[in-house]
Amino acid sequence: MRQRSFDMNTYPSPRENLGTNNIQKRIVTAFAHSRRRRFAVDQLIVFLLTLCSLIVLVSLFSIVGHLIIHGASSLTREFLTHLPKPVGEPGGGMANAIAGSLILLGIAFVVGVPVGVGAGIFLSEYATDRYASVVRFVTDVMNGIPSIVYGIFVYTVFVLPFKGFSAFSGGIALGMMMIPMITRTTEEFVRMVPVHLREAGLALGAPRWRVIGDIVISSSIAGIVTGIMVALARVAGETAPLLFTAFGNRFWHSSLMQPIAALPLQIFSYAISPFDDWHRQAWAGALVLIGIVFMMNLSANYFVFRRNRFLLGKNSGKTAGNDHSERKSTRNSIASPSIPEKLEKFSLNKRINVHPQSLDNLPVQISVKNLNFYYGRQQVLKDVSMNIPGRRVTALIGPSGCGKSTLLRTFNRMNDLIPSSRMEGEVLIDGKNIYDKTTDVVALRQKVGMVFQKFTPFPKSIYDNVSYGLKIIGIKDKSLLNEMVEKSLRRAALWDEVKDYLGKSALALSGGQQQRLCIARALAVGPEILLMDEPCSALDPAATAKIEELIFELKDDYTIVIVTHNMQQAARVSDYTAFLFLGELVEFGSTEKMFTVPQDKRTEAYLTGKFG
Amino acid sequence: MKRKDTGDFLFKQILKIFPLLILVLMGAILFQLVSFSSLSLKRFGFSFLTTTTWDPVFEKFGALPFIYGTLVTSGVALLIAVPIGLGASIYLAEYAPLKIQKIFSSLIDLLAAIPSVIYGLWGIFVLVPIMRSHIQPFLGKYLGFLPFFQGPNYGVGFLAASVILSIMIVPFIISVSREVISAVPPVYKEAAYAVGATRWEAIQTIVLSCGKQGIIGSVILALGRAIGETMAVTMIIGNNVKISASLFSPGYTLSSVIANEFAEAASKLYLSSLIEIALVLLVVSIGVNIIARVLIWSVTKHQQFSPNAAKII
Repeated sequence: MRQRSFDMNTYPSPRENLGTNNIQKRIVTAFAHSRRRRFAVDQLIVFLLTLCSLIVLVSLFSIVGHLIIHGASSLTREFLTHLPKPVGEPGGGMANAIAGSLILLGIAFVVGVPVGVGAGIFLSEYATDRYASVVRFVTDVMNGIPSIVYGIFVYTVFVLPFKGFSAFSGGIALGMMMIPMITRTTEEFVRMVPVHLREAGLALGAPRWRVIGDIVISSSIAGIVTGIMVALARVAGETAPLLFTAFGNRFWHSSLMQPIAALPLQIFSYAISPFDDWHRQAWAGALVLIGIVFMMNLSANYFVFRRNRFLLGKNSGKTAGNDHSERKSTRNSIASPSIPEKLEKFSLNKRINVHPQSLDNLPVQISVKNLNFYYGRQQVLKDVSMNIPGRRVTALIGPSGCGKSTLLRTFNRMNDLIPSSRMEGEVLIDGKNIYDKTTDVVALRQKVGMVFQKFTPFPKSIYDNVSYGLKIIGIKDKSLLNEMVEKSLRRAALWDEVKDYLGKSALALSGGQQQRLCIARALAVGPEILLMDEPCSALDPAATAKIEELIFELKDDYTIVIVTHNMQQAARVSDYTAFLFLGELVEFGSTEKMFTVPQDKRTEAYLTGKFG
Repeated sequence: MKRKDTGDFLFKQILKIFPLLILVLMGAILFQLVSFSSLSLKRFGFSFLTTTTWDPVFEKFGALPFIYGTLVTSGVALLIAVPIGLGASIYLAEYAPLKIQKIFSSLIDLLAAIPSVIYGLWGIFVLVPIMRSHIQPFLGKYLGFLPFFQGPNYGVGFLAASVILSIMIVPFIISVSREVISAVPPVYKEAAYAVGATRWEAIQTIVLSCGKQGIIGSVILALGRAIGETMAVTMIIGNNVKISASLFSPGYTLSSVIANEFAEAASKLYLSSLIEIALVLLVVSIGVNIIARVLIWSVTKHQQFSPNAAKII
């Protein structure tokens, strides 16, 4: 308070701050003088910019308009179904060229799609590799190589050795051009699959390749198809690389090793010919070609549309809103750094009540020994040691950035995925060090389930979501699966709400239901430990209450470790609470005791809301 | 237990093959073009790029007229397309209402999707007559004192090719520079408004200077497109091996000489010379692309997704 009044008295008022009256006057006149000029410039610019846009539109309309006018009048049935007539005779059509173009695109598809999609998935999934960045760069450069260069290359490797132009060589040239395009779009779309969805798959004990195959690709398949369609549309109109590969043919080709007609080639040769009838046919051909190209682009847009609808689901607006408020609250919680800095001095104090023995003589399930954790050079966990008792709920609390999520994620080795992270120390589960070289991470994650802050339903049906973890370990018995799905959904208190809609997409559920579905999915593989990373932070109070109730019911059978920002929640659901601060475990003990008589000053400060 | 680790390992190794194929393809393209043009490389050496004779009958080949044609057409195309494209992209990103933005950008996509040969067709039957009867006489009359606008008016020639190229590269300039412009954090613009700037002043001082590198990158990318563009240019440039200051004069470009003469190249040296021209095209386009990528990347890298460790602590 004193500070503020002090400020008020000494801080100069805005008027004074501008200096003497004279200066202020000059500013005002300068503004008045320049005002008209400045606003006139602004208006002029608007006019010029609009003009630029109009010029672009006019040329577009001119091209499309001429295409439609000239093309439609010449587009006859004969054109679509007949071969070209001999030179000089009017009539005839481009049936062979239309068919030829489609065949060339088919070959291009076979050549370009597997390599492009495979490389794209690699680039996105193993993106940190140095190899990946080299490939990405080369792909970008290849996207800029003129198409005629591809044509020459294919001429030297296919046409010359096989002594002749052929449909194959033309298709291969087009396919090669598709590879870099598809690679980049696939990478982009696959990368858009959220990280937490991948982690959710791994947390169920799926190996990485299954996660990529089942979840990542099925979430992005519409996008991948879009990329393929766009690439096909682009090569469909390519002419230059076909000039000396497919070469063109005025008749039907008899085999794919023969020269083949292609629509763009035919348009080219008719357009530069001296015959009016051929010019007419060139326009008709152009209309057909652009029709093919636009159909492909349209279907690509359709897939994008479907993809968006599928990924976002019905409740997209709601979840997004929650996300936003959540982010806001995080920002608020780190707003006052001064108090933590002051408290930093206390950390010289002896650590209180952090004993590596078990609490209340309970059997220990997770034992952390001298754990240090680094992201690059930044140390986020400092010499943490704790014994988490089995079949109890343990809450990890602390201000943002204290390392509580990182700690939680060491229990199922989820941090392994983060590049440049490093760990020292041991984490023992049932007495076995899970960071041992012989540990099967996949098996570990079946034993240690995880629920994330963001809802992570896979883009599959409710049934397939819950049974996912079972299916990947090879359980095919339908009745067993049914039983386990029902049991898990019942345990997650979701069965009654969804039992009639098991085949429906999980994305159609509400936020709270999605989260309970994720719990059911985690329970289905029969874990002993359940890790929850702020499971309620994106939920409204009613849905939060349901999840908390559920935690209460589960704790007799599972060891639950929950990270929460909400201290009331920690007080409500947990038996034991660990308070972390700046990467240190400050205090760990029974929740009741900690919330009533905290042993450490920092704990007290945090619990009473002095910071965080 | 080991089995699953092996699965992951195998999966990654199999997936690794595909990017390897891309690298091999790129290497193979370079290797093939160099080895097939070795005959011409040995015969003419550096003079291939500096001499103007292109005579298949006496087998004397110099590519300078084509290099000149490519430089002129793509240079003039940039002169036309950059102001228009940039203007349209600023209009789109900063001024246009959302609805118009959407319609406009799908129209731009449409323009970008039109195949080159159709541009050529439109060029022959629509653009060239207009050039011949209106634009070129107009330019000759009012700017005829400049050497660029003198000489006989055929309609086909450098200027027509440049115009068609400019229409073809405008969509690229618009879409890339729009991306760059919208990558500028809005807070900067708001800060400019807060000190009393008009809209244009905010755009000029903040948006354009922040996005300068990216915009230059998009222009260079467009240049790459223009240099490599083949069909539309081949159809309306006039196919004449000649260096002429006049933009009305018919000419030839690197890519169009390949398109026109490759199939009829009878002798080995002729073929090899044409492949050397393709090599020149390849090297130039690689260089141009590298420069453009680096520039664009330096602007947009901050927005790119990165596994952000700090977020999950």
